[in-house]
Amino acid sequence: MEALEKQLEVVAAELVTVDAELPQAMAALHDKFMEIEKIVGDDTDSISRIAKASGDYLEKIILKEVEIETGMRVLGEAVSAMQQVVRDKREISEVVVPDELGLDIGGRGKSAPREIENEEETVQDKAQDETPGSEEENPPETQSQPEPQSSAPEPEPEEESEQSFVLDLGDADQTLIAEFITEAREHCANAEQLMMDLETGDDLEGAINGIFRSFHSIKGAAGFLDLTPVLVLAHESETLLDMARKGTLAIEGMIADTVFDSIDSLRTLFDCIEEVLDSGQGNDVTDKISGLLLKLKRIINNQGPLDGESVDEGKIEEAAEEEEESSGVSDAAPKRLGELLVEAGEIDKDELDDILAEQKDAEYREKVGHSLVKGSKVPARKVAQALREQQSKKDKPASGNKAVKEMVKIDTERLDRLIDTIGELVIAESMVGQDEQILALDSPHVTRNISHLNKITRELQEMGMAMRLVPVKPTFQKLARAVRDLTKKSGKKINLVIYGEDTEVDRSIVENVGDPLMHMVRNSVDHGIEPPEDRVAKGKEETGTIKLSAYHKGGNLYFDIEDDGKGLDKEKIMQKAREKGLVDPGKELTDKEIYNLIFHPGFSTAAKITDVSGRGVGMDVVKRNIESMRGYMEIESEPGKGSKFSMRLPLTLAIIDGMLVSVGRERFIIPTLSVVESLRLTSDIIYTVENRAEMINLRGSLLPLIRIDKLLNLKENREGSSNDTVVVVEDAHQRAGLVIDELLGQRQTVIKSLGSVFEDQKWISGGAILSNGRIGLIIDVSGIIKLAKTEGYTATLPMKELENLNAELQEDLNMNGMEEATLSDGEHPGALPELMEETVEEAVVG
Amino acid sequence: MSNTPSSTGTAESQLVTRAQAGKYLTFRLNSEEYGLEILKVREIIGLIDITQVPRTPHYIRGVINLRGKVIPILDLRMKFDMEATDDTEETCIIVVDASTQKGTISMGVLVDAVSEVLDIQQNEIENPPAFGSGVDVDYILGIGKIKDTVKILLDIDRVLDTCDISAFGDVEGDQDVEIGEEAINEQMSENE
Repeated sequence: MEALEKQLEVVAAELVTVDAELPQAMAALHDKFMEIEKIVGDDTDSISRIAKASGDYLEKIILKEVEIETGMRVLGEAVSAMQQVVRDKREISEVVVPDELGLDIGGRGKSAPREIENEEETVQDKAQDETPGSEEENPPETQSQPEPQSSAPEPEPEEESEQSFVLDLGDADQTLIAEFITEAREHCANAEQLMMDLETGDDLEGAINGIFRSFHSIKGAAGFLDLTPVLVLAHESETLLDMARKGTLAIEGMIADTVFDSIDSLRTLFDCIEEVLDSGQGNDVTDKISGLLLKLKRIINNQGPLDGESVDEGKIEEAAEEEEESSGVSDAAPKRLGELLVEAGEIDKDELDDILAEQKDAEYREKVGHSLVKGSKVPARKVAQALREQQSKKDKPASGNKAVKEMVKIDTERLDRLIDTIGELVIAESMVGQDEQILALDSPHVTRNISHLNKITRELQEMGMAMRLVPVKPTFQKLARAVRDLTKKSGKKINLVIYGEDTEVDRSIVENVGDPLMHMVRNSVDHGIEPPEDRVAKGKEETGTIKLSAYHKGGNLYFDIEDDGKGLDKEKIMQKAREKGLVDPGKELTDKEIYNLIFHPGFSTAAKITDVSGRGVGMDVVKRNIESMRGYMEIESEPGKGSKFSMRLPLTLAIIDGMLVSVGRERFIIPTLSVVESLRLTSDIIYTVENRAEMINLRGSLLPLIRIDKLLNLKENREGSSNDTVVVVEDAHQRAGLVIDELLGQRQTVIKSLGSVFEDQKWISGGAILSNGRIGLIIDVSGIIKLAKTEGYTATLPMKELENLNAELQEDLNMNGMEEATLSDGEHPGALPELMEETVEEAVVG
Repeated sequence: MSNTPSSTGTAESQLVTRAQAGKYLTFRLNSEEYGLEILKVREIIGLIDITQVPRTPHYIRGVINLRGKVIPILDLRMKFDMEATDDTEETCIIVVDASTQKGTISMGVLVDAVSEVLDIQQNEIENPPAFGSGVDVDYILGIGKIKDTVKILLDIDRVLDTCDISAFGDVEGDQDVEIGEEAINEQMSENE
């Protein structure tokens, strides 16, 4: 009883200090009441009933059905009544329990289910109050909804679910609602995660309780904010979960789907609320939730304790068996109540077995404790003690492994500004550090101070970068949910394994990587993993595995999606590619080239189009998305064994790896990703077309030459430019040679947008701040190639002609017997003739 | 921003002046004195190293790095077709927040020298006289007559809005679709 006494004191103290206006505080208080109920454990016990009723009453206060003042007084009386019973050992009949709780302490006839009913009614009443006249508006045809298949017609709930829900925030506090949404989304994510845990089967009870709490918190806050649709939906889901918690309903199959649906619908509602916040217009969301509400109510009414006969007996047996199984597992698992009582010598094993057997036969499951007490085999007090023991054992591990971190929520805009400012500081610091005048001082004192400043700046920069980092966990969670849903839909058996969900990633990446990942995971489910029967036929395990991992390697971020499915079908891809004319007949490609074909737009090998994938608009979008993040995609595959899609991304989108080049006085940055090679420009490799466009012959293939100074009209730079280096660049479609003066080396620079003023300059992708504080323009390779074409500075010959020209050239040269080796090998730049190699090397060094 | 109530109609057709009484930052361009609504001015900085952006109109001097932010610089002399002079010690950049059709943008305006901040009364402001076709009065909010001097009150939003940077660098127009892409597109439409 000590624990109970203590808890009561805590509640009493909190009751005095709590800020009744704050839903969160009230929710916490509500949890305390639930604790009392839990400590007592037995829901026939009067203390437990008072606690439960108080909890329900507290909800009414939160929902503002009761005046806060009277409400708090009633709760105070209730707590003091409980204290009198527990502490002062007075009989329950002697103490005054406030009438407002609606308890009949004398007669023990009323049971928990009745209370649920009451609670439900009050909420529904409230909902109706909010939308007066809703029933008249709805035509009675809705009555003809299919009846629940098993007996007990319940017309009441069906009528009610047809009420209309209108989201109208009126003059509610917008910031409060926005905060609520953020918080509620977290609750949803949490509930979703726990639902997954539930399905994989660890810590069932903890998971159900967790989900219940999430819904409960949403409900409490929604009530406070008058968000009726959210309130009603959360309430119904909570009722269902409460049944699961009491063990009268197993969360599996259709019911689990319904809970998932509830989570989704809540999210939809939050989206709607945000819309309403933006537009200020009311929004009718009835159609978004009414179907689900109907479903929830059917489950609650059909299989709930009110309607015992209709419970599927098979299900109970299953559940009971599960219970048996889990009870015998190991010491690590919490012991069942019966076992504890046997240990305590209150009953013997045989008796327990009898009761358990009885319990299995019973129409609906009663707690072991109930049966024991009912059969007066064990005094209620002993059962309660055992329950407490069980509870404390259960609680321990849970509280032990959760490290509580203190968190502060910060507006992302502020965070971005802070990081920007740090960036400026870093630049300013390096400008000071490299200032020639300061260096000329050559004073050890100044040098020391500057290096100290440098150290602090670096630290600050690192901290700033770390602040932008978020774990990929939420993204992965979404994928896990998608796999679950897709698995159900496709009838395949898939086990999703996740590695590295704690990997921290720049926020900008997380925002952009979700869609491509989702797409690839869908692909793996739909195309990769075979149906169970095929897998068995191939001698594989029936359940397929998809491995999803995130990790850092070599200054890059990797996402891998690996499945043990059928792998990519090279033959089929080639056949398709030939059909589409992507590959010339008779031409052979390497494995890698074949796999890369699937990134072409409109390419899909799926024989039939499903609603999951196969429309052929997928992988090219994925590739484009990844490339826009300056990432790279690689495919490995083995027929029959599976495939692996590997995504390599930069650690942040704010920094670009670039080649700093000079053209006269100007400095430009060419993204390293687009650079193929660089070489010295000599007149003997230049060819002109129609005496205007220039091309170079690079190991047998012709590349258009783009003279940057001419194209960009850099007048003052004409003189003194050597113009003798070519950087070969490539975009998605083609290669070109950019003529520059000098390669100044590779730099990592911070990208800055040039803003809307220059948005039409497609050849610039942004500005980079160089170490001297100046801005270097970052060249957009596709943009500059396009620009060169429109300006006529380069060969505008179509590819076909270029190829013909190539062939002619080869013939010519072959006839002349010149550099045969170079040109006959034109298709495969891999084999470099020695002469060429030297040139390349020289260019890189020089 | 509300200081320019009319963005519709031209100045000539209006009897009331577009310029309102208030504080103006005055600056010198050649021998002329101009005024800029102080609320538009973010800061004034000395001349710093400007990076040229090729293929932009001649009155766009380039971009600068203003504490980590990239800001385009408009050479007002060039914009008003005055003759180019060498930059002096007094040359400076007025950073303004202008609301243009593309939204609010920060832009630097290069001027010969900044003079002072003046409080101009409504009775000191007049509409610009009709100069005929040679002079574009669209840029002018009004003329301020303070004592014996004349200040031209500029509508900086309009000035910047007519800086059609894209005119020179128009690289749009996808007439040169790759052969491969075309083929694929065709096939896609066939499949559909």
